[in-house]
Amino acid sequence: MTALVDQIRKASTHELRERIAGGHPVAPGAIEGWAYRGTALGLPRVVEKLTWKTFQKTFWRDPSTGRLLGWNVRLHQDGPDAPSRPKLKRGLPHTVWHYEVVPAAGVPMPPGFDRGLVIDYGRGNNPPWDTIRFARDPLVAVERDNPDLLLGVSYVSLGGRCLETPTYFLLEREHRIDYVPPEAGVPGAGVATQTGALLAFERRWAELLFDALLGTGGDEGLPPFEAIDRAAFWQRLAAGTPPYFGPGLRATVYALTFLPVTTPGLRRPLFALPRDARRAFVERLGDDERHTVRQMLSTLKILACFAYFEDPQVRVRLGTP
Amino acid sequence: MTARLVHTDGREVTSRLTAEADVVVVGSGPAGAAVARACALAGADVLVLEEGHEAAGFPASGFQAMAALYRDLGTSVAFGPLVIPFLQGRAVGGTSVVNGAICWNLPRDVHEAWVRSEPRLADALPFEALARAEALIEARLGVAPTAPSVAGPKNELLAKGAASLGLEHRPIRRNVAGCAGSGRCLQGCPNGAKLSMDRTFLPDAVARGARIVSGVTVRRVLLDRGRAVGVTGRSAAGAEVRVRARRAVVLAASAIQTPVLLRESGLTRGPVGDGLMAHPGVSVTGLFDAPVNNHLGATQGHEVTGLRHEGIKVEALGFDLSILASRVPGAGATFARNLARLSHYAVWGAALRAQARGTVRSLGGRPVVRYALTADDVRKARRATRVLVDLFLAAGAREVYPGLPGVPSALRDPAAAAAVESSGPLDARAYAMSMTHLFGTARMGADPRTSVVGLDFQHHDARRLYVADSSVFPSNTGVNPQIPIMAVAHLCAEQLVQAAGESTQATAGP
Repeated sequence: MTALVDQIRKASTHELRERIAGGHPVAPGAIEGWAYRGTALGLPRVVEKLTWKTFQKTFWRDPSTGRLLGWNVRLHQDGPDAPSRPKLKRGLPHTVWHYEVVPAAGVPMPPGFDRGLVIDYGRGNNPPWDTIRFARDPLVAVERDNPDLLLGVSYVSLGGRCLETPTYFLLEREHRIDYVPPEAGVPGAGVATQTGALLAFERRWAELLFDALLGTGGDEGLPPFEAIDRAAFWQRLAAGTPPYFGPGLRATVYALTFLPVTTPGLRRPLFALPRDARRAFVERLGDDERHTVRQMLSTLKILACFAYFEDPQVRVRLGTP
Repeated sequence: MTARLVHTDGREVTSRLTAEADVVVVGSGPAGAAVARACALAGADVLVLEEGHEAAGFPASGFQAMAALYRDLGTSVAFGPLVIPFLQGRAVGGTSVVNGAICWNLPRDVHEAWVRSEPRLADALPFEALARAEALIEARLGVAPTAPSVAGPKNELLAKGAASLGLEHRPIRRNVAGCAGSGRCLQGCPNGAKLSMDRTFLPDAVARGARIVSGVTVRRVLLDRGRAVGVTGRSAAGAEVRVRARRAVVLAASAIQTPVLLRESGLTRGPVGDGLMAHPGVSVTGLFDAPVNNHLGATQGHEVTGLRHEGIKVEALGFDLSILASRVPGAGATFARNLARLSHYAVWGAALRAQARGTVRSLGGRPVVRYALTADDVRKARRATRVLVDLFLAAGAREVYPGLPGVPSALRDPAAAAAVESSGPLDARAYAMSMTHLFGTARMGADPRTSVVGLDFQHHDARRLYVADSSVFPSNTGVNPQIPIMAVAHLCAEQLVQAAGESTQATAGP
């Protein structure tokens, strides 16, 4: 730990605020691709005990949109100087609070905070009900031309008003990003797309439809849909589609998921049917003469094929050079 | 490949960017590139603003290509009784990066119809001047018929079918050099063989001092006392971008984005965004006994031209496996069985010279496109579907799948194919279409009540604001429009240079 880090860790909130106001701009290219270890500052010890003292923040350039995105990684609280040890969820780093990093210029914020970049959680792929969407973190470099040590603070942006908080944090450059979570993709077209992107359970419904449409995993020797990695597909879809796409896809997924409820002999939504029944239902649907059903089915078929052929093994098996 | 092409990458522009140039061109597709090159050769200081980025590497799949190189991931749609997707490239080089490299000259009959609709176009867009420009452009782009060595089975089979039916057909003329028949033009080109704008006209312009700024979305044209003085927009990193134009602003952002820009700039008088014309397309899948390997061979290497008088042009289609798979018939277990023999399927398509006219409006800066086929267009779609079935059967297909409700899902003999035309649906919603080649949303003409730009390409209400893309076309063309678009843009550049007092001599050379 350097003397400067130690000095900042011990600084009062007043001193931290002055450091933010007098901080140096951060070049996005200098932090892109890196994970930073974060240390919460300025909070009462009891709050830190109840929440966390250390965490990770990441800065990742989405190749499909060019946007600088990121997320927090939860860490085991092994002490302020212990090596970072990510908490795991289903065997993968537990990530929360997605954000986009944008220039401070033009973003409403408390006076003196517009020195560098802003971490904007409102532009991240967070659930609509998550209050983190109101949070913004201005970010500055502590020293000129040194992107290894950054200082940030949180404020709340609500209805055009900005409310400062005493939540300061220090970021120390740690290592190159080695994991990109599926939720990382931020819609490229702003809020409308963010709110339109499918939620996790809706994606699951869509995947059940994809699986039923493709029907693979049998004698034909092709892998079942569930065996392939779908994360990158969903990431790109959420990031690249226009605002009207999400609601349209959602309506399609709901309509076809609940269509079996009106079908004699089934009377249950698609997700409640066994796999064979799901596939048989969708196969019958392929002959449906209703234009809307045909259009919905063909849209999902295209998406299913896109997702399925993202798997290199599928491509090799079916002939791509 | 094109690493030195971009002067400034908007992904790195994090604080306000200001710049100025003689000529500011919005869009780097065929129209923008043609204008940029011609103006740069004439000695103007040119700055090109492009929303997309330089193609970096070759995308491994169709989906990845759509994410990286297409607007809205290829999910842009026109709303109407039938929701029709339309594809537009969004990259340095525009749609030329992802098109099939098909080259046609403007047919004389189309030009004659233009002149009938606006007699003064005979002088503003003389056929001979267009033809001269087309010849120069084609020479620079190396346009030539598809070589038999790279055609591959799908193109050869289409030729066989057309010959058997006695329909006029030919290898497609394309702008490629050293094509290896990789079959993936719609993802770019894995070998860099396609001579798209980022490999030809834009480097030419850059060599003469033009600057390309990628990753910038232009939001508005800046106007001052009835003159265009610049544009404003936003970089991909979120910063404001403001570019002052000393002599002219040229909109070359496509027939969808250009009218949106005009409207967002307050230029709403006249039919701006009206009169959208296009080439909607139908496609049919066929199954052959022998492997076709539809994804190999020249992407689009052969065409049937004998029905152009009916407004139908048939082309072999090559695309990524995922898109081919989505055209394989069936669902569930049937689809899986069919998928296992994917290499035996081919898809051919027909582009229709539709009469429908749609609209483009702006909703918060995003285009909202409305388009409804006419009854005659639907009849044309039905006729084209029948022709495609006939061609497949004549080429020896075992089964053909027209994909129409009320028609048997698999056809095996010509008598059944005839039924497609006699009893196939006449409801637009029965057809799965996609749309390419968009025109006419800022028409050229002398009367501000019926046109948006004047006969000198300048906006009726804003001097020094030029529109150079297919928005100015009075109608669709019935053929692939890349070369005519570039030729018209070239004439626009000549007008601009002349108006700015520059020599036009330099614009004449390739």
